[in-house]
Amino acid sequence: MSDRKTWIMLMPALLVIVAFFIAPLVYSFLLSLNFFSITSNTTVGFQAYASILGSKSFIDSLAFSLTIAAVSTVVSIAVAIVVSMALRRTFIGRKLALFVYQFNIPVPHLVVAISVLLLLSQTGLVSRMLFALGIISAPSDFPMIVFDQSGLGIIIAFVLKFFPFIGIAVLSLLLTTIDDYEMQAATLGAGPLRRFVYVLLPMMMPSILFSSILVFAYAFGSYEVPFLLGSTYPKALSILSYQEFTDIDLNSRPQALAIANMITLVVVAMVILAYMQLNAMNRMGVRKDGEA
Amino acid sequence: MFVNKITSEKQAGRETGGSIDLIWVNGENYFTLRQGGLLFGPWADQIPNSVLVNWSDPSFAYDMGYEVDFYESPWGTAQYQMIYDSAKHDESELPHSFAELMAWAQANPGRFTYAAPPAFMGTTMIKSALYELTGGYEQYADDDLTLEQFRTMSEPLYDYLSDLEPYLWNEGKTYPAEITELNRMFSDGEVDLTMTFSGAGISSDIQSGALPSTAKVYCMDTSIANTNYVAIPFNANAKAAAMVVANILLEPEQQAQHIALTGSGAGIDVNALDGWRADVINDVYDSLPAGTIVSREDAARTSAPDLGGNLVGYIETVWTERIGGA
Repeated sequence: MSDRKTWIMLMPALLVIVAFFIAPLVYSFLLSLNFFSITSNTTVGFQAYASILGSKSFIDSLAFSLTIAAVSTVVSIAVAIVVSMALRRTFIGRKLALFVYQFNIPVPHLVVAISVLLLLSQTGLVSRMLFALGIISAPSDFPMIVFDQSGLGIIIAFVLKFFPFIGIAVLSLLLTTIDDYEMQAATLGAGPLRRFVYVLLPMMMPSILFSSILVFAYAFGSYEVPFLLGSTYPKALSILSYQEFTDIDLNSRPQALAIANMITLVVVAMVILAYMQLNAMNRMGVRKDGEA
Repeated sequence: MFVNKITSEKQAGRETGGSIDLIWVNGENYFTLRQGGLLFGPWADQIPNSVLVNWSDPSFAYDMGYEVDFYESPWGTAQYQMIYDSAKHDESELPHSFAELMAWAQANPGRFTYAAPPAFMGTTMIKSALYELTGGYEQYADDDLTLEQFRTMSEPLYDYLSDLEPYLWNEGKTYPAEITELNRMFSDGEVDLTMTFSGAGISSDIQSGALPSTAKVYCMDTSIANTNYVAIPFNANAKAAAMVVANILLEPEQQAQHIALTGSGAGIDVNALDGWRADVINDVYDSLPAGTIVSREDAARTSAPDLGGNLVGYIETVWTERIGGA
């Protein structure tokens, strides 16, 4: 296939990416510098960025979003590995277990967040059941899981959605390519723990790394889950941005977009780091497809 | 959000043929639209039904403290009210002032909370408390009021809100983000009170099932009241037609429908009406179930003007500093 043909085939996809992705990012950057202002304040410059970086609520929100994204990702990876390892063996009801495992994946995050709210809030199903059983004396005695300042409800909602997503990719690897290598290691006398640490884990890593970036990026920029399940302070970064954007003072818009651009920046930085790590793994001889 | 749409059209240089002809606005939106030069006007004094509007009343001539200047025409009114469940409480045992609220909250810890600013209902409740606790609204009517001056003047208010925190739902560690959340908590029985801003009661909310059938309203001793309007964007395609619609909205029969269906108060001056026009309005007020709407006398007695855009920003800023922040 000639070079020209290749480019022609790539063009539609590239145009979509540039039109709906690159162009808005550039426009958003310009707006954050206060270009196209329709208020009386028309000075162009980085003052919006200076203002947010000096603001305590931005720093707190940044820390909060990073923390819940990181915790959600790590917990999801751990749960995914444990569950996928367990699902390798054949056992009674395995097909049902597999179905339930994958059930969450097409369910939207919003629905999962509302479910967490309906189950775990102080007037939720679990609280009412415990109250009816006499285990707690009043609904308000139920621990504050949702709306907690630590973001526990948010993390639970994210983990519920993310661990099957990571787990499915890991499971399919475990059942195919990795299985052969594990067999070989077993015949050579490696015990289960050695097999896990030296064969399974390294071979799962590229796939886990890939899905983790997606999961982290999603959790970091998510709006609907922290909106439904978060507390008044600290707010997730996306919520802070939205509130600035819808502020009655139009002069807050550059700040709103500056915050949004910072979200993009962090996500891009994570992706670059992950790719560097993947390349390092490739050089060490463990490639994504498992071929050494 | 239509403000975004009109803003984008202005930024794109679309001076004619805009996609929106008439918008329903008040207060905060009006401030934003005037700030960006996004409205067409003045026009509201030129429509025939403008005579039915009491323009000399400051609650119509000023929208949240900003001069309306005939850039918008009234549609309905609204007043801050508390909602309670008459099946669980009697109105006489509930707080009618913020001073009483403090005592009531201490006796009933965890049974009250309010939506956090910048939610409109939260900010409005805090504004009402501001008037009651710092000696009236007149001192805030100055357009040149600075944030520093506000901080000093509003200290008693934020001291009060701070002292109230431990007795609120969840000990004030978190607040519902929106009024819909607070309504849900009220319907679920997590809190005893919620609030509304509808000028003619909650019967429409009860009918739609958003509130329990035994819910009733009452006014606090200081209840903020304001007017909502319709306005025309600077680039509207059919400005004349929009003005015709605004005129129709002021017709007594339309006002009566609006009251019955949405719980809004009347945008026209009902006291200046006579004959069949007065009857149409009085009939609809009489038809609403008792308790779901405060009497017009109570409403008039407790109403306080809703002051301006800057004030809203200051209230939100200082609340985040002193209460909502870490």
